[in-house]
Amino acid sequence: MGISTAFRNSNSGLVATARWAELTAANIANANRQGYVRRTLSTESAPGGGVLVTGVTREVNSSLDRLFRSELAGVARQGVIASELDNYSFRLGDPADSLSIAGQFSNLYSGFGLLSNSPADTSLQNNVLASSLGLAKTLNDASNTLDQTLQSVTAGINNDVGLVNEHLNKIAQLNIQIGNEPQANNFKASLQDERALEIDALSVLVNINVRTSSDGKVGITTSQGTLLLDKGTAFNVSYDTSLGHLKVGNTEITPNKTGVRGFSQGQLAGWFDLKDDIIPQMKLQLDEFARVLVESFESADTSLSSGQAGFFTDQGAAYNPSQLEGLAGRLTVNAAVDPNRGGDIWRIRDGVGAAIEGPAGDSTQPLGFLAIFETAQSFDPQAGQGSTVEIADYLAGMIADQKLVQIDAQINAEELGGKAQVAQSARLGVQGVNLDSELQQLIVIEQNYAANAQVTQSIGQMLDALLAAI
Amino acid sequence: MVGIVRASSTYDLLATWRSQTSDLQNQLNTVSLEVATGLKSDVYRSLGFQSSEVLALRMQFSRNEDYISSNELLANKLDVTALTLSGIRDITQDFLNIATPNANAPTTSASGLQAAALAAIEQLTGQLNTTYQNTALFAGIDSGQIPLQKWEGVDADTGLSPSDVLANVIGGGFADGTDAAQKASVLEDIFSSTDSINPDRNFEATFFNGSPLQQSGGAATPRLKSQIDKNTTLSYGIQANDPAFTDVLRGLSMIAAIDVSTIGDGEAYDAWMSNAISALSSGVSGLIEVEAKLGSQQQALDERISAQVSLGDVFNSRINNLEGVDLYEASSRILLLETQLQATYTVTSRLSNLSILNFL
Repeated sequence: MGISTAFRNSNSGLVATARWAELTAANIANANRQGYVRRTLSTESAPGGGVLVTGVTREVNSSLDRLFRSELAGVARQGVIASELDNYSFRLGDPADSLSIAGQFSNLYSGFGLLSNSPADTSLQNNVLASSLGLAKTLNDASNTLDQTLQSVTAGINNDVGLVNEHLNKIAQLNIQIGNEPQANNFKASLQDERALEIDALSVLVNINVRTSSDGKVGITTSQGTLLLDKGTAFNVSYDTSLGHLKVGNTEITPNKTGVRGFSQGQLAGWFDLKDDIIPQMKLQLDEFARVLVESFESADTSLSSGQAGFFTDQGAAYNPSQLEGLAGRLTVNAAVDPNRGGDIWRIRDGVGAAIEGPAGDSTQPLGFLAIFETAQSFDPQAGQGSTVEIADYLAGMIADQKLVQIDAQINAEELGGKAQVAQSARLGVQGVNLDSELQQLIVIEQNYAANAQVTQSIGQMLDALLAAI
Repeated sequence: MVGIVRASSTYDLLATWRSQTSDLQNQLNTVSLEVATGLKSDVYRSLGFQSSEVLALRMQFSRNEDYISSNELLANKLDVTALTLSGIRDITQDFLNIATPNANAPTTSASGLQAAALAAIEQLTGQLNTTYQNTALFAGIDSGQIPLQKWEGVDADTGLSPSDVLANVIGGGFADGTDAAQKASVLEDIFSSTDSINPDRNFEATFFNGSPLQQSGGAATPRLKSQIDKNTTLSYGIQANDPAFTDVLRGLSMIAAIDVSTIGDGEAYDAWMSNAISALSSGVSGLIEVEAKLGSQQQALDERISAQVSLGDVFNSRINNLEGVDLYEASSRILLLETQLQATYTVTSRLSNLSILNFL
């Protein structure tokens, strides 16, 4: 009451101002640290009329957090598709590239064209052989690159599953620690910062829903509702390699699968897009191209007996419909036309099955081979290029489509990245530190402290005067 | 506090400036590359779904260029063939001019006919054995073979020369007109390669080394062919065993094999000589037909080449439109980006100096 209450009140002001200065200094020191959320002091009136510091508040907007994390997951999904397809896309080459699949095919087409007009010319026969070997090799390389990409995807899935579990376990641990902190102090705020960063990192991998309970702990589910974390318990994710399923315990959460309560965005969703849709489709397109080469050269070659392998083979054998998968990686030129493998170059003119060399100027078989390139062939409509097209048109469509898969992913990643950037700016606007604003507060803190100190001094002088009078 | 104050984080501001500047720099680099090369830096990205058109066009353009060069080669080959045929007809006609007066009965020039016929055969053999780029023009698809045996040249398979065959048929001479007519008829079979009694004497067995007119099953032997355009072939093969040439050679052989002025029997002379002259005339008409057909094929080929050259220009122009970059437009873009970048630098520098720190 009276003087002593006044003394106590101004003292509480000094304490509160000092705490405020402490927080402002912390804000300024951490201004450029990613994931730091601006602290403010929460105060209330003390019973006697002074000021009571009740805790440290983190300036967070949870709906902006949610928006940013969902954009992040979208960017990550497109980003992983774009970057994983880099190697394969490079192999597809530019339109003018003569060593690309299209370039090699064009060379072979020209080769047969020139040969059919001068079938006796051995340099033209050798030219056809070289072009066909080049085409087979380029196709083999492309198929192998897709296989390698698939292996890289599987490794990526396993790696990211490990990371997801790491983040979930960390968040569970932080939940417990946060729950154990009764007061809203600086330490608790740091733990909450760390937990927010872990949740951001998890959102890159899987798009999730986060719910904060009244005790400050978070619960995490996949975007379609499967529980991943409940307060202090993290449910670990696993990848079943043989079935190709992603699971939490026994519940399947494979992304973008109907009938499964999984998720749709995030880096893991990108890996599964590659594994289940994109790469199998590209392989099918390559294998169809290889199949048409093998089968059309078999049927155009009048020198072959039934079941005999033609100009293009499946590692030496004739086409077998049950062996379509991976045919592009096994496509070989028949050894019978290759002098380096015990064959004879004149079989390019006379047919692979020809026992003896025929008339030098007979262009019947070369013209038969040339017709393959100039008449429409049947393709599996699943390959997406129509069911009856010329091989050149199929190839042009296939390469453009495959290139555009990566380019579309890049463009989507860029656009979503722009949106994420906007969400991030808005989020940081709320929770980030503005140096000017903090420095202005310092001015107020200085004045406040000086004012409280002045009050304390005045009261001290008053007490001195009272004591002097006794 | 009344009203909403929208703050911005200092960290975010700096990050945004950095990313905007580097984005502008990247765009500037890309456009500079496009100006330097005249081509779009990423054709597929720029064209999107039209990329497949570019690929298809390039393949068509390349194939069209091949057609043009191989058709020009073929045109040259046909020119040489036409020139040779013209020479053959001239030789034949010249001989016919001196032989015709002696058709039914010998005149004073009859004794010189055998030597003239032998000379004509030698010249014709040379012409018909013309090669072009190491392949025989008149041997059919067996273009690695020399088509005609010389008059005294022994065929490796039959052991006979053309002169042996004629000597074999004529024997000691002609008994009478009937005998002469019968022997002339045998020669007709021999020169059309249909003598089944003594097939070694046939034209395709002894005189000619190229492709037979018919294969063993009776089907016609394929001829020399060329693909001159997509799904268009030109069958241009002319062979020395075609009827026009065998008629000419038959007529000349009949006069080269025997000195007709020594044929005593008038009917025999008449039968033999008129058959020979008739063969020569028929041969000359046949040659004219062959030349006419070749001429029209050459014209069709020339027209085709012109069309393909024009088409090549169209392809090239379309490809350039799709892949190329308008240099003026690209230069304007560079100017714009440069201005934007400079403005960004200026603003960044000014704003970073605006801090309350400078006023405390």
